[in-house]
Amino acid sequence: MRLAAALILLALPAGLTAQPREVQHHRLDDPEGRLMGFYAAALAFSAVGPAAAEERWTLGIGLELGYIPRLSREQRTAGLDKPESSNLSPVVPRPRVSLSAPGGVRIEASWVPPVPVFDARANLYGLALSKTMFGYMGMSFTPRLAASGGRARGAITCNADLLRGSPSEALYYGAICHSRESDDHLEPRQLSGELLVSRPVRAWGLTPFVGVGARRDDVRFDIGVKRADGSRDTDHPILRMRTTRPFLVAGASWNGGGRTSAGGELFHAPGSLLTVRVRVDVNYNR
Amino acid sequence: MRRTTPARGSRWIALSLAFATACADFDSGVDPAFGLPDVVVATPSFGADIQPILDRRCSIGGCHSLASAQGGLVLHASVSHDSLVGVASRLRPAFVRVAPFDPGNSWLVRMIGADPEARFGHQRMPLSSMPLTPNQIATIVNWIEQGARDN
Repeated sequence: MRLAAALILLALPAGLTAQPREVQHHRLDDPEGRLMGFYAAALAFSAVGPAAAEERWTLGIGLELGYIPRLSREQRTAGLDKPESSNLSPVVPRPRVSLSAPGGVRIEASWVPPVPVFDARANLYGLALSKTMFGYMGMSFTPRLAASGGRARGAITCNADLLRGSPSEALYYGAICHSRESDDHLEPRQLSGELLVSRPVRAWGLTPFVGVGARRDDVRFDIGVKRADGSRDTDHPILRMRTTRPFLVAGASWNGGGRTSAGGELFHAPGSLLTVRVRVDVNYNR
Repeated sequence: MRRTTPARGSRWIALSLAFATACADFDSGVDPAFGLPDVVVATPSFGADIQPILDRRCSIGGCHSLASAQGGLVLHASVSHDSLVGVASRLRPAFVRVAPFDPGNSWLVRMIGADPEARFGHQRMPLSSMPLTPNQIATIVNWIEQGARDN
């Protein structure tokens, strides 16, 4: 029986036998690395402001919207082939909860559930711990540690839009993509540390803040070309990029005194993107 | 009656400005040589000068790799020379893929070249990608002119 199985395996063409996926390692400054770095930064789990003078044991339930700038055709050309169809969604909607504990400690959690948003579907989670300390001249200092992971999916490598491109792109879709949209997986795993400095402006209920941090990115992009029978074409590699890089934030939190609070920030990851994130929370106090 | 304070107005202005300034912070900057030396090699070696071009631009997932073998052509280092030299093209059987000493009649040179008539209308290779640089093409031509040896 075993001999028969071995003979069948030997008789199969090379393309049908299982083979280990090639893993290509990229740097942030090469075309593939730049694209992965851009989307990793766009999906980063940032604070969008320190706690807005909440009382302790306050539970905040909110929604954050992060903007993903649209990339040009040139920026989406990652080197080996045609432009990648990565402009799948202009926004990341991120439900988040926070719990303000005594001593200025705040625990935050977020989850982007796997529901379609435009042409993408994500399943991303994040967890953060911060502590706000009051200091000199009414300023507050908030160190924050955050970790996040998960997966975003979409037809990036092979998208039916290629059929509306050049004859060469249409041929690529037929020959390389087997005339099927791909199921690519972007998996950004991140660990970040940042320090936010804020000072309330009581007359307006605003708390402007600035911050600086560093983030460790371990990004994996699994090229999900599908064969005609729907199985994954394992001839395509997995791309991986690891890097540590700084980021900057600036924005303001707003607390009108009621249950609602809000915040917005500009988030800059040098070499990747400058974007804006806004959040609205409803707060429940014990 | 609702009040519209200067603060409320400035918040909207700030938010609008923030969205307007959001952008990608990188240029495309694809290297046309794909990290390979962009020079004409006068006396090329197949292993040192030709195969690296095939590895980087042709023998990649989905294309002329061992598993995909598009057009029945595999350009992986283990078989590339045998797949090219003296073997009839599947697309155009009247041509051999590489005819030693005769680059003009080598289908490989026609398929990577700029002249669509020489390719009889077939798409230029690499498919949907930047073409090989003129220096890389000249290196391949030199290798064929000198006999397309497996050296």
